[in-house]
Amino acid sequence: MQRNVGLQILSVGSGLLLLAALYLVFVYAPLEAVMGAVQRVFYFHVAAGWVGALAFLVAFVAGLLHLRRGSLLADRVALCSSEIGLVFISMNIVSGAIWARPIWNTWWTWDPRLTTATISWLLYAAYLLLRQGIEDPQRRGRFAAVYGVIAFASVPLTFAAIRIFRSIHPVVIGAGAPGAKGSFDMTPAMRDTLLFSLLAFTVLYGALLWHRLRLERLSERVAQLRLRILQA
Amino acid sequence: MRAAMARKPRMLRVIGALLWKDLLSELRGRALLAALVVFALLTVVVFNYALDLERTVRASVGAGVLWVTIVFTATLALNRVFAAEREHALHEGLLLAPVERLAIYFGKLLSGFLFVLLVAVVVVPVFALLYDLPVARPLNLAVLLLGTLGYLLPGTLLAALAAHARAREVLLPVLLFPVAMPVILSAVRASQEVLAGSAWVRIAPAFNLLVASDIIFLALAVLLFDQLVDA
Amino acid sequence: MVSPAAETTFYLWLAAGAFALLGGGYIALLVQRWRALQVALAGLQASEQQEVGR
Repeated sequence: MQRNVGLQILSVGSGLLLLAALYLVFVYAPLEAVMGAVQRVFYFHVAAGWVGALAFLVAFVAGLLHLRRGSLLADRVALCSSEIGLVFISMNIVSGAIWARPIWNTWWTWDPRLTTATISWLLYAAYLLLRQGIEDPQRRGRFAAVYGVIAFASVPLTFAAIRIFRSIHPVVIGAGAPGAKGSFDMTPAMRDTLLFSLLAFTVLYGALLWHRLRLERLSERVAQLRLRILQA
Repeated sequence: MRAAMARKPRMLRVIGALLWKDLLSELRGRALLAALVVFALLTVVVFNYALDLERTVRASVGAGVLWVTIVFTATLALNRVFAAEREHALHEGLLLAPVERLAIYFGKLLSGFLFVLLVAVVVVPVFALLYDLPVARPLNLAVLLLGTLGYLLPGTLLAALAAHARAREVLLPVLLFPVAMPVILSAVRASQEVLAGSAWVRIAPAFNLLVASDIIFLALAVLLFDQLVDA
Repeated sequence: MVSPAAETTFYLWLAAGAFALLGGGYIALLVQRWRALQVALAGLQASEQQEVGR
């Protein structure tokens, strides 16, 4: 395929931004007094969660567009964005668990945020499984979009449901609640580091999405060519 | 428009006819209902031993056992709901018929609902007996109806969706469980509070969320089911 | 609840490793898929040429 200048600039740019973010996280941001070094997980942890949510939102909108207009590009965006979102949500969950081990003294707790992230992970893993299970491309796109819409709509409801559970049960180790274990006040340097990490991860998401879309286009081209040769 | 549209049967009649068809084929020797009842009873018994329930935790854990039983039963029923059509290549016939597509959805929803209710009529009293819980409280019955409906609303839609995919029997629960999570969680929570004899203030949040989830899933199904049928 | 510095540093590096593994693994997967598709494309184009030549 031909060289793509815009994509190259975006890729290199996201790489540089990521390096700068690493510098900020490891060197520029001050050491948190209570939690120590492990607090530095926070910046990329939040950024990964943000990109996961953004990617699922993009997939949802693309799914709606596909249902409305039947746009093939929209279907491709929905697939690629869901896949990338799944990777970032995985990062978010795993890094959160690693942070929680020294801070909460446990890898895992069924707190609303953790549970909602896990359910989202399951939803989009199911979405990709569904796509793999349907052979006809048109039907695949439509069915996947339908599932994507339902899945996206159920996430806030799940969050609300878990909140009800936890607001009555005693909260052993809680995030979000006042006096939650592991919360801290951000200094300006910490805030800047977080904002920069968010920026770097968002640009990285854009670059990955573009690459992934190109991969999908190539894959469709190969499939079409194969079909043509088989029919010839 | 198409001539067939003019003779389009009334939606309610169609729903009734679909329901009747499913019930008839069940009566003619499909063993689904009997198998579902036995399966549900087994679940109740197995959980009793697996959890070794003590009196003090019965209200909270019992509600969970009850809902797991209902959810498993409903999932099995859903897998069968569109399977019969597929086996006899009736699915295409149904979808080609000049029938409002939504009528198909509601017909299937109601037949699934009826099957689960028939199972529940047998299993819930047995559950009440074995676990010694006041299951028959009116509010708990309301939760049972709303929760079952709330599970089947997205369930029927996703069963229609999974019916065209490979490995559909496994795929359906994988698709449905995370989507139905708000319904399951709020139903369990509401049942727990009702069985424990709590005041309405403590029941209300879960109960209201259950109702809200039902409404949202109903709206989504009405909006989206059309998309599952080839234009 | 203050953990010893060495311990919290260990978890920091563990998390960094997890990030690198997941992100790097995904990118490696994409690169591998891309290469495989290029090979397949070249092969298909070659056999299409043959068809035309015959």
